[in-house]
Amino acid sequence: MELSKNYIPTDVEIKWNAHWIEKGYFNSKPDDREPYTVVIPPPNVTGVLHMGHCLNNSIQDILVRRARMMGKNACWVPGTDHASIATEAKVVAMLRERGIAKSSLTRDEFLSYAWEWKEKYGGIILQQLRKLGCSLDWDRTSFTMDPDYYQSVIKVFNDLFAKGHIYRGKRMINWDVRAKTALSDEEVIYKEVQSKLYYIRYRIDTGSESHHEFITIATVRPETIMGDTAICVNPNDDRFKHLHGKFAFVPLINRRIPIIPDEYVEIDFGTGALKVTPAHDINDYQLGQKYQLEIIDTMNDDGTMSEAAQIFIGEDRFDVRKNIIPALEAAGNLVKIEDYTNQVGYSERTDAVVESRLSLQWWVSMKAISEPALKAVMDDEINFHPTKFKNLYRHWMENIKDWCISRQLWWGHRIPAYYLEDGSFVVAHSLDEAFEKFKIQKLLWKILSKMKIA
Amino acid sequence: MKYYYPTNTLVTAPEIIFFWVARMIMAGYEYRGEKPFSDVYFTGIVRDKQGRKMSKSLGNSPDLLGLIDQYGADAVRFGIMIASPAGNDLLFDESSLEQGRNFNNKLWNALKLLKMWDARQADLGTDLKNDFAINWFENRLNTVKAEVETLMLQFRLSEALKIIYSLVWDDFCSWYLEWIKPGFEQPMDTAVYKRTVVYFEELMQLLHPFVPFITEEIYHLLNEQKDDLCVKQNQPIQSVNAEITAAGELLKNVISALRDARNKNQLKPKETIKLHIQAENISSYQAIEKILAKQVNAEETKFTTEPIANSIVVAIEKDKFFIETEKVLDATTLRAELLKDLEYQTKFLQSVTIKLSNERFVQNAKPDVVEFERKKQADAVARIKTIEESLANLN
Repeated sequence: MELSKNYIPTDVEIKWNAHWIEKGYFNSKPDDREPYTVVIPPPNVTGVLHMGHCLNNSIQDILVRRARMMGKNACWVPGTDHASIATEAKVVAMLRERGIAKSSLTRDEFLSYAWEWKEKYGGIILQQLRKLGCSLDWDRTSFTMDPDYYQSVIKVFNDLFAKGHIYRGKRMINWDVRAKTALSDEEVIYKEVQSKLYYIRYRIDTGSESHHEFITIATVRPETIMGDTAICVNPNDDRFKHLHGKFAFVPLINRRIPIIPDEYVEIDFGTGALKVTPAHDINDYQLGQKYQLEIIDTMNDDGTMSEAAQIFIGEDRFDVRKNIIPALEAAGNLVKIEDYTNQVGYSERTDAVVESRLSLQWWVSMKAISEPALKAVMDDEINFHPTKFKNLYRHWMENIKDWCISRQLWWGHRIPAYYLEDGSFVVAHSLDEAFEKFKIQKLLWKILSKMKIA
Repeated sequence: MKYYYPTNTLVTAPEIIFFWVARMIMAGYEYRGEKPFSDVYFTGIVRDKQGRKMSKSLGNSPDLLGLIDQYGADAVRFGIMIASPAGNDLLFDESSLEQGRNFNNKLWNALKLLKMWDARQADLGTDLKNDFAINWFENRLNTVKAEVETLMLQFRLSEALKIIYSLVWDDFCSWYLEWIKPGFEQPMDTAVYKRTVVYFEELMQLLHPFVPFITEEIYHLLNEQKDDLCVKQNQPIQSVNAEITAAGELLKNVISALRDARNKNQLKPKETIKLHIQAENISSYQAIEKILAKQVNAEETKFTTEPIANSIVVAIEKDKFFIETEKVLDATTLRAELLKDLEYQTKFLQSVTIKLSNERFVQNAKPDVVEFERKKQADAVARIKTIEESLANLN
């Protein structure tokens, strides 16, 4: 038999892949043997094979193939992740090419396009893994939006909600103006940026036309001054003691805002006076809660100024940052501009500068649920290789914050909350169950109100 | 679920430890009251040649599918695994894929050699039990199988691949196949051939998880097989004989040194020599003498207690080898070579001695580092003695 001079991979690979799959070697069913199960970290359904996939899946295949040869019942489960943000972006792009705007579609219309995209283009990554020789149990291929997965997600949501671990709340979140959705803390990447620090003076309300006095604040985001509802100074700062309880005017829109003494402000930091914008900064929000300040949201979902901003309405935040400076200068409020280096958060997915915003979202309270998970790793119930990751894990788990699980997208698992016109809601497994729950609620109210009268 | 849960291993990149790993563990405990998996293996970060992380924006991510088309899936898998120590970053370079392709061709060439021997089989009655080459490779195979098992349990996959690579390229191809090779146009003993095929099949099995396609292909080309390599069960690991392993190491070292001496003295491979061995322990050469003679083209080997005049002298550890050749040894060239070597060894000895007389070094360095320097010093002294003896011999 004539062997070729050099080894030629292509035909050999196609031949054996077909043979192994035809023989069902990669399929697994429970039997007497010890199982060796690996679940693939599901790649995005939008994914195309890159180095990370190659490394990760080669390793898994080595472990699985070896186990198969050591008498174990090897089961390697494949699947893809519906990847809400990434997929929605791809579908919107596809629609744009066809001249269709997402805003002109209903949710159901959009979803049918999304499923169409998924059937046509999604999951190419799985073909590519097959080409790499991955011995996956292809009969078990899953998709995170398969009906049974979907049902599990809804079930878990209902369960955690009933246990009190899921709640709905208005909190400061990371907002992505490009994807137009909330992001979790893990999806924000911080980069060092060369910014400018703008010193802006606000006129004090002295009650007299002739007596002019100013208080100066410094900010890297001058476009947010339209949302200011207070100025804060340190109570022990002699420079401002005479201004406690007095008022100042926000430049350009002349909103009258109080000057409040609070320990939060440091005397020797910046100008010693802090502008307070509760809708746009987490620390300002907390001050706002403390002093019952008005919350004015001057930004739209897409990063343009809202009606509440009064000026520059509809303009992009970064354009406003540029254009507001000459306006402030002309009005006599600009003091000086300095270079300044700071850390700015960027969306991991879209690279848009993240806005801190007040928003009503769904949250998972993590403290209780994280305890057994932390213990398992620290006690080596679950082994980390290499072990250095245990420290990283512990640090994060010990400082864990509540998890924002809602996203303002259509493609994904729909939060099972059902609303009445008055805004009240129930969490349920289905529309029918929601109806039942509302009925019961109504009945309870009826009974309770009857009792009150009696 | 009851059969498969908890699963065994999760393999993931470190970036998503919070996104995924932590939350999977939390979900596992909340809903099954049990861990979701027993082990988590964090892969290293893939970087380019310059050490920068691979990213779309940098444009330094290679076209994986293009590379698979160009090199084949096995070479790509090999290239990635050979370049990634556990948990550390991977510096990706296309040269790793070339190494993979070369390895494929090495396996292929070994296959072609075996096929050639297949056609020239004859029953020569070799006693396999007492054949050194056969026994030695069996030992190496079992040694490596045991090492691989330990490494795999520790998730040190790329080290496992490296030792299998070395077993194939060095031990099997460079040494074993050379030692069993029949003479020019001579037949290959059937028993030896059949055993060699068994060894090659075992090597394919050891390699299969890493490079599945070529190993399955070669497995079927070696023999009419009733099964597929993909699902073939591993053979149990046999015990290892330390003496045979040591004899093999000795044999390799001596062959290399003597071949080197032949080359330095411009002896052509066809030219036969007479080999005299002055050994501390003659019995250590009994098993390997035959192969040694053949590999260095010695028409006879003798044991001696005295140095042999007019010979090329090679010293290895405490043993000396005297190469007697018909070729008129050009004494001038030999002397020049020896003097050059003497000069080098003297300078080397000087630098080691200076290091060892530096009190601060001796006091502060780790004991085994100091010990290593002392050994270097002792070896240099021994070599210089041999060279001086050789020079004396030439006269």
